[in-house]
Amino acid sequence: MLGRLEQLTNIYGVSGDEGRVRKYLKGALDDMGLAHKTDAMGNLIVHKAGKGRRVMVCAHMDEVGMIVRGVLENGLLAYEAAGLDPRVVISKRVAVGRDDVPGVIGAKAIHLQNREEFKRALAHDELYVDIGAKDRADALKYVKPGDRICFTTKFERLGEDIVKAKALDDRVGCAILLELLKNDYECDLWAVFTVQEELGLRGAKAAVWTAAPDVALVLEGTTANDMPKAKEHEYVTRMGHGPAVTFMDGGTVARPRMFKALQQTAKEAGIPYQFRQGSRGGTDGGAINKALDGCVVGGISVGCRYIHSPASLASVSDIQNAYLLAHAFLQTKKFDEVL
Amino acid sequence: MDVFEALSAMTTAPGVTGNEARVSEVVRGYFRAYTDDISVDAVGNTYARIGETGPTLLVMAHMDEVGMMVTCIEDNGMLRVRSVAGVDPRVLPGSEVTVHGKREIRAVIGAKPPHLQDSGDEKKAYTADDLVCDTGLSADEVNALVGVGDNVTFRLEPPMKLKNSIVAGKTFDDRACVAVMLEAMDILKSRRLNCRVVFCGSVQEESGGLGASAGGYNVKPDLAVAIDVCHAPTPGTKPFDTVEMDRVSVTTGANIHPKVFDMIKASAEEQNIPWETDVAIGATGTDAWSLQPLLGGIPCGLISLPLRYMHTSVEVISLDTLRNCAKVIAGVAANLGADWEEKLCLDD
Repeated sequence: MLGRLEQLTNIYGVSGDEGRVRKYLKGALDDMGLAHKTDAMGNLIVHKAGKGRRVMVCAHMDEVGMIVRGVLENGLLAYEAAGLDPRVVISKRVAVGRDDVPGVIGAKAIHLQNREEFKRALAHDELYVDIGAKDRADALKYVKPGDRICFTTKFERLGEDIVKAKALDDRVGCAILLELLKNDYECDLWAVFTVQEELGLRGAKAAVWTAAPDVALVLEGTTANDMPKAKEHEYVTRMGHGPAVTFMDGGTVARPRMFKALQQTAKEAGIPYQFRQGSRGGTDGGAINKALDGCVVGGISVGCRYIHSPASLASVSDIQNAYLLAHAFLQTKKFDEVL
Repeated sequence: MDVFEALSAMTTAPGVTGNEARVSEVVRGYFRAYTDDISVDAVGNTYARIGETGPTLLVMAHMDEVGMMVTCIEDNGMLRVRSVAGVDPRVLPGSEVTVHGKREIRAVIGAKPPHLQDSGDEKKAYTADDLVCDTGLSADEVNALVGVGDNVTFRLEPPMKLKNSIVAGKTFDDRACVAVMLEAMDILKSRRLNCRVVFCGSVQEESGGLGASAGGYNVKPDLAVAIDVCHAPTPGTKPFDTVEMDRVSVTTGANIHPKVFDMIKASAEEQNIPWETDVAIGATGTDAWSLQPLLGGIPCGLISLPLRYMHTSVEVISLDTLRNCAKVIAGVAANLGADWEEKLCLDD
């Protein structure tokens, strides 16, 4: 699973341009002998037909990033961003478009700033991607408006238990879902790798109609804010303390039975878990629980530090335990209990 | 010489101001291709000498880099860091860095996700107090490997090639100009010189020029030319604060001996190299400023390589301009001979 995660996090797949992540996943599914289809929005859907309840398990393929808006006369690229604090893009390497044109995002040198400027953070519309083009015409030989811009951070193992990568939100979910698909479960399983989660759960909103689940499980990379100055109630999750079970996020209030069932499953299987102690930040669950006549959704999250920045961290044991918890939940068939 | 390869090797060697030993070792390795006369002085300046007779020209580019230092280890093992000589904390969130503890440790500078921010937070500039350096290691491991005072650099990774022989990377300020010296030595290896040239990779330029002071004193040159980077235009810069990327910047002003300026200008014009005058009434913020008053006065010149986004991990330069800087300095050395004193006579 970790090898898959390495490959998945190194792929460029900004929201709305998930093709290369999908291509990789399709290849993996082909190797596993699993049929799949891609819907009109780009969601990748695997249906493992079976008896019993319709169960949807999903993870999103897209990652936060930028898109080229246009090129200035001097050859610099203006961009639009989604889900990105402008303060994290300065001084970073990026790849532009499907040709992976190398670029950097710089800022006016500290030496040339006055005191007022120094106190101020730059906004996205004051920052540009530099690909070394001579001028506008030269730049347009290599890139075009609409090209996606992605960070180029490479997956690496830091400590024994910690990995560093971009896009851990939500390639951890993709890696776990792929791993789950190796197993057979007694249900009608709909595994969905969604698109455009970061743009407002757009992929899940569409895919939920196809899967039409009785019960859904969302696998996510979520925030871990276990920082030195933070108070315990501000942690959201803590890295290394097991997968997080969601009671509420920006778009979902977990049904009490589902929330209980996931905890019960963890206890029975002896898997460490924690609560996702925050109510902000949405997941695909928010789209799923409002669809049809209201679907029951549960969330299992891996707490990652510094998500939505070029370099985030996650705990290997959390990822493994998140897989085990999802696996145990699907195995124990608590589907009727939660409805 | 493969200048990109040399830049890669030099920029991936750590050398935060005051700790230049590692980069000095790499620089000496490159010097060895051109001379056996190599030395390191008491403060760490690294010298290579060519030429046997005539006046002594000191060419200096600094080896040190801006970086950070560990100031505190938190209970959970996260590190607090402070700038050493000029890293803007606002470029750090979400950056990968290398902690130089008992071994090199990879780390990231954390940034609070937008989900947890209050509205308006993204408009406030990060200060060093807001930032933590996260190695992903346990507190015990961190305490065994890292101490307060250890250096932290931008991640030691080789530069990247952009379009049009433009490259981006860390620490081109001023390793790109050390590469200029190597290129100049490469040009001069086939020339008969009528002067002595001492190439010096200096230390501690970013913290005020200790290296240049000691280096000037040790070499006692007849004239000196510092090579440093200057600002190239980026959004928001003002005219005359910058020099275009494709031009060699030649400084004039009180820090610069007018005749050394003329020598540099003549060398550029003889070789049809695009150049531009950069004006500084007083301090140039380079080794030339430290060298000038030494030993009763050293005639100084300053050649600069334009660079975008100075003191970030993505400094951008043109390799063509880098080579042109080398041609200009090589031309100055090649033109220098027995008549040097007349050439330096000030016009009254």
